[in-house]
Amino acid sequence: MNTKPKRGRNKFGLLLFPLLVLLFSALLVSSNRPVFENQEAVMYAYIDSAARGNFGYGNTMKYANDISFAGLEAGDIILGGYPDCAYGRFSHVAMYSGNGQVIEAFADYGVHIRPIDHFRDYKEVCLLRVEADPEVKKQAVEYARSFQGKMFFALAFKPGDRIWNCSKVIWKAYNEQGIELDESEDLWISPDTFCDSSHVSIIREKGI
Amino acid sequence: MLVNAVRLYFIHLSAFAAGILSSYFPGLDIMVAIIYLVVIALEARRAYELPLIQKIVTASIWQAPSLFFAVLCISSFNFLGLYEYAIFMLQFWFTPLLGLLSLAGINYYFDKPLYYYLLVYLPFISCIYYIGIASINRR
Repeated sequence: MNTKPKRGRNKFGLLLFPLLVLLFSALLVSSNRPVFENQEAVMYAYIDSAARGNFGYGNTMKYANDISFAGLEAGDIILGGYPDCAYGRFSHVAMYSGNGQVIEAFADYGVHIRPIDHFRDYKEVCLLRVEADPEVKKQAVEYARSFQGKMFFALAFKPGDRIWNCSKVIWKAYNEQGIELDESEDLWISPDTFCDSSHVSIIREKGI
Repeated sequence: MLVNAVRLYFIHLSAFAAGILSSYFPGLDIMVAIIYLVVIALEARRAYELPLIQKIVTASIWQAPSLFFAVLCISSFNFLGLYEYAIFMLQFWFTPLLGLLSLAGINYYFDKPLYYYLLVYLPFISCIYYIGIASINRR
């Protein structure tokens, strides 16, 4: 006599999340149709990389590049990349905050500030300057600094302010100042996105 | 016991997908995390009649991947070069709880944020949660 409700509860547990996945997928696709039709969207880059067997941020090593950080200004963007990175040429990005420090996000530290020197470990490095008023860049740095301690998640979508990855911190900091660094209006930001922006110029770059 | 473990895996993996997708809609990820805890509690109640040792084995099988990576994090043992990916893997494994983890606050302890410690100890907490609820007396 009690088996029917029990069976119902058994199925409820198994079916609930697959149903939620269908519902959320439908909502996501319907509200972002142009992104799904854009073959250059970040998600397709991830899928292509996965098909080639590349996952994560590539082959990490201390490559000891000798790029100069001289002349960097607060608000400049620093990109670093390891070979076979799944998200493109660059696997990491940070914002220069002055005094040899960068604002960045990592899995085990969240959004935090640390010395710029670890960018010497990357095989590929690129320094970008956002073409904006110095006061605006200073405000972007202060805004990014306010995220300190927030949680890192590699697949952080653009919306929301609780979950961050290295690219989203910088995109959001400039976005709040009225500078859109992602002209593709993708679901995610990848470090390579900043290289393609019309609002930046390359200060210098290095590949070993 | 094996059926319970397979059910837990299925729920966990589908909740993983739901957790990622829901994070696009801020707030829904918190709802998914709460639902996940309720569903796991209901699953634990299914295991009520199992002997304690089988409850422990079921929970350990369910959390085996996360227990492995948590041990790497705690011991700093770089098994097959996996140490540097361990915290990433724990984050992905606990995507169903992402919404609640992100509410952990911005306090740092020994140079690491609070959510880092939660991630490292969640595999053990999850096992205790399951075994505890599975062991509560029915009235």
